Amino acid sequence: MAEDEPLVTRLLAGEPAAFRALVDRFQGRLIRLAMGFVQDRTAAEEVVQETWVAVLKGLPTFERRSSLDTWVIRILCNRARTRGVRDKRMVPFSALEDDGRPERERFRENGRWASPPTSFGEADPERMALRGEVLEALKGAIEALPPNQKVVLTLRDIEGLDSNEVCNVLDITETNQRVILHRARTRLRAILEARFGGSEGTL
Amino acid sequence: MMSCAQITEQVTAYLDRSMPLRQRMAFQMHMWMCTHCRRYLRQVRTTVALTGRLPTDPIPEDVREDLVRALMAIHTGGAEPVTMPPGPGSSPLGDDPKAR
Repeated sequence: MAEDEPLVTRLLAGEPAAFRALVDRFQGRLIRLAMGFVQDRTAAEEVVQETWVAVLKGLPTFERRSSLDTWVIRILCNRARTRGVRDKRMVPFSALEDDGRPERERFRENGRWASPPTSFGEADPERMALRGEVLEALKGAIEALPPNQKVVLTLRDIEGLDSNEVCNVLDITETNQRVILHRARTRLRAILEARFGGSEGTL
Repeated sequence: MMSCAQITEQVTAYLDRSMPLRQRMAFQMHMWMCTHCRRYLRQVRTTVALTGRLPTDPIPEDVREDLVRALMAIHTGGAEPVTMPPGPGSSPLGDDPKAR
């Protein structure tokens, strides 16, 4: 896309500052994303390495129909999926991971709340975002998600891909994508509530 | 009428605007009446917003510079990445499989 054009041109010209910008833009995110697919940090680094090689080889023919972000992320997902399957870590996306649906017991048989959500203990999302322990708790909760939930949530809510892009990148249906994402968000909400919830605050 | 249990199941579909209009109106109607579900929706929104704010772990400066050099080497030579520093977490491009 247009805004990536200068960076791509500078990379193709071999400008060191452009490579630094590329690393700063992607390395941390690629590692984080790869960690959803594979078992450990070493495997994640290997996947990211393969991704970098593929990105640099593909750069001259990068068609700019998608953004650089989506293109790089797609390359990583392809490599990481192959690797995750080989390591027998990934459940196919079509088979839902059983997470026990912890929220179910919050409802009565008739579908009404038995134990309604308690406040997040703040009045304002902005103030919550400024609390280091909130972001720490959230980070830990994401790391503990089942792999498929972690990958879909990272792509949607951290990387900001839309549902179409995620379906394309992971080769899953829209419904499937939504169910996986929903379970992940539900679990994170429950953890924030359990950790910070109380009677104070309106959130 | 959708129950609270059903409504909460629909939150992600609602936020993605991937609901038929009728269902969307029923959802909004329920929100209008039910303070618990309203709080639930607000909390899911907050969770999504907070998730979007999570920073990545910083890359150590030496790792970053090594990685930049390695990428430039791939770019110019089409060569495999140059030797990386050893140690867990310090290797920007991961272990070289040939070195094992």
